[in-house]
Amino acid sequence: MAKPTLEIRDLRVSIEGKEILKGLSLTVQGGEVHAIMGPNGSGKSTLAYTLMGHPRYVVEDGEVLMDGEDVLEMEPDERARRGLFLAFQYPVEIPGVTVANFLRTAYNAIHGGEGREIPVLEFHKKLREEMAALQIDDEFAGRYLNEGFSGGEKKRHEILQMAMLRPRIAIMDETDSGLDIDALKIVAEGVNRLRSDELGVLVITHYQRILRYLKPDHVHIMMDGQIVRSGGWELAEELEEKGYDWLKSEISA
Amino acid sequence: MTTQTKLDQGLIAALSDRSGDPAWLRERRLAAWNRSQELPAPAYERTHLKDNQFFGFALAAPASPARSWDELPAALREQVGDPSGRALVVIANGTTVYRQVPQGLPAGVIVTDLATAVREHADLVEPRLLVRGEQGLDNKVAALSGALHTGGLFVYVPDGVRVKVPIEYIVWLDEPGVAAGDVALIVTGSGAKVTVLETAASAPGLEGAARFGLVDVFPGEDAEVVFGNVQALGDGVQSLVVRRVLPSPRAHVDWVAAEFGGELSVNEMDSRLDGRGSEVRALGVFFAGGRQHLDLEMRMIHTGRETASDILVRGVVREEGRAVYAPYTLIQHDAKDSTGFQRGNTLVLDPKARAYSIPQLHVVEDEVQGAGHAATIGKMDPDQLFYLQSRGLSEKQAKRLLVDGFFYPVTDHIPVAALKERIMAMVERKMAT
Ligand SMILES: Nc1ncnc2c1ncn2[C@@H]1O[C@H](COP(=O)(O)OP(=O)(O)OP(=O)(O)O)[C@@H](O)[C@H]1O
Ligand SMILES: [Mg+2]
Repeated sequence: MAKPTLEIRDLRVSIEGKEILKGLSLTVQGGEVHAIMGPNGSGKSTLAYTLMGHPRYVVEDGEVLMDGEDVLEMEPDERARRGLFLAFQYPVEIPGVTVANFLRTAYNAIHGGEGREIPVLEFHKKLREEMAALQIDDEFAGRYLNEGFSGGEKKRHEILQMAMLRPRIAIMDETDSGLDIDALKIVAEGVNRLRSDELGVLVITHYQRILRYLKPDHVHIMMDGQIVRSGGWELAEELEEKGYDWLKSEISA
Repeated sequence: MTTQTKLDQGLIAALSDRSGDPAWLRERRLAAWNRSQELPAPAYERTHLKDNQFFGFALAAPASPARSWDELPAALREQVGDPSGRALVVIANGTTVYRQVPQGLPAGVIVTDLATAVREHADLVEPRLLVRGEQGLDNKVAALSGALHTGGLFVYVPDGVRVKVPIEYIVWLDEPGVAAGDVALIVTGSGAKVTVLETAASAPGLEGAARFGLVDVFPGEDAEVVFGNVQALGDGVQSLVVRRVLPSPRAHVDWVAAEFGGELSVNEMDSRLDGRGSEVRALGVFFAGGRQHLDLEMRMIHTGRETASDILVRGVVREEGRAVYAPYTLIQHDAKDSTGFQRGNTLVLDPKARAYSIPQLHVVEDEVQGAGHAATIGKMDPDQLFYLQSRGLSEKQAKRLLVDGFFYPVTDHIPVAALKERIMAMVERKMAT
């Protein structure tokens, strides 16, 4: 498959009439890892949800193209079938739906197509392998989606889904928050294993720690609905050292 | 062939002749008819029944029993599936047309159609058939079912006997415009154990037919009884059925009510918890779509000490469907140390669908162990839907999964695997259309 490209052009998004994203542009390509950092409420999750197509977020202006095609016209499931993936900051609990049943349905929706479903045994073998790699206990396959999962377990599950579904562009919204040190390493290694020219990654985070593992090619700082600065790895370090106030004063200066 | 006249006393008398009722039954049948005339329609809060819905039908023509399974209508056989190894009584348009009892039922167990039981087991049937009117549960639907019945089920399990295989009661309708009445009587001795599953279905496209049903269950002391019904009639059919249970001391009853079909259907369940220490746990599932109106009325009347009831219901309404969830628990004076709980949740899938939740809990006795109710009506959670869709599931697939998940807390508790499977398959079928 060709190298994926996600292009965001001058995106403006509102929620309940309030403008949150105020003209945001960014391009992510296969093989690249981009990090987005920014203070609480700056609109990072809004960007993530909008890219995935949550109906609550209203696109007022701008474009999002995946491999040159208009993503904003697509339903969320179609976006997923094109290879877009969002690891949620707050994965929802769905009682009564097992992880295995859900993932098999999702896998078939994305990779199977009519009449080409993955054989059940093969699916379970694959699931067990990926679970082992992420050190997730086998019994989770039979548990209900995110129900009663600890914060860290939920995040690990998001990455399990990513590993199973093999997206082409993955957005990780604070996947590192709530993970202990060991879990963070397992998750980061899990992501690194998936990296190739056929995967572009957008990591939203508040912390440098996950970035040390993922070694992003680009770091962007988001404030008040816009990207205010982009740079390399050193930008994350500078931010950690000096805080957002430093940047605020730089911008207004 | 259908008799074109509407129901009247002459027809009921003729029916009695035709059925070869013994004198006591003829008398009760006619008394039931008279009661059905006198009584007002049951006061269902959200389901208003008019006279026409009771008497605006013709009587079904008599049908002769099938000599073998293969003689039954194909559409019926398809509905029931493979009969081998099962204990079955099948009634079509009110008349018993087939019964089969597998080898190896324990000695003394009786599984037969009601007319045969009236002839051969009068000692067991006469004291219990159509006699519960005086017990405060008198009811127009029950009375009319008693007057009209031409077929039915009789089950008897003697003291201490445990029947492993579920006994199945199949109610089939395929004649347009007729009223079919049926009565099931289930009696157990003390310490007995039995499972009875009722399934109602109809021929595709059937219009204007009605079922009037009465089920009376009498569990003996310490008995364990499971009773389940799956109402899967077509959406041109009316179904009014009253099911009553009168547990003896320490009897334990698991009740499962599943309502899927019918244009208008009321499933009334009356439990009279009179026997000290008796227990009734009721599960309910309903799914109303199209222009269906479904009403699930569950009553738990506690008159005995240390009695326990529990109601757990989940239902879905969609399109222009309407559903009523009306549980009623009454803990009477002197029903000391009893418990009564109700939980009900309805999921509304479409803007024109309507759900009514009318929980009632009355505790007259001061010294109860516990009582409470909780009922909600809600929509599908858009964040759950989005989560599933973001993983590639179409809206339809996502909804299907969420509906299955929504029913799970009830389906998970269904104590009989075959019943659970049937109910889940019905949910699938409803979601697929
Ligand atoms: N459903 C909503 N209704 C109203 N306002 C909302 C809604 N969701 C988000 N917002 C607002 O949009 C702004 C951006 O929120 P968003 O969740 O995108 O921030 P974030 O950068 O992800 O923050 P954090 O770092 O805390 O996760 C905030 O001011 C928030 O209050
Ligand atoms: Mg956020």
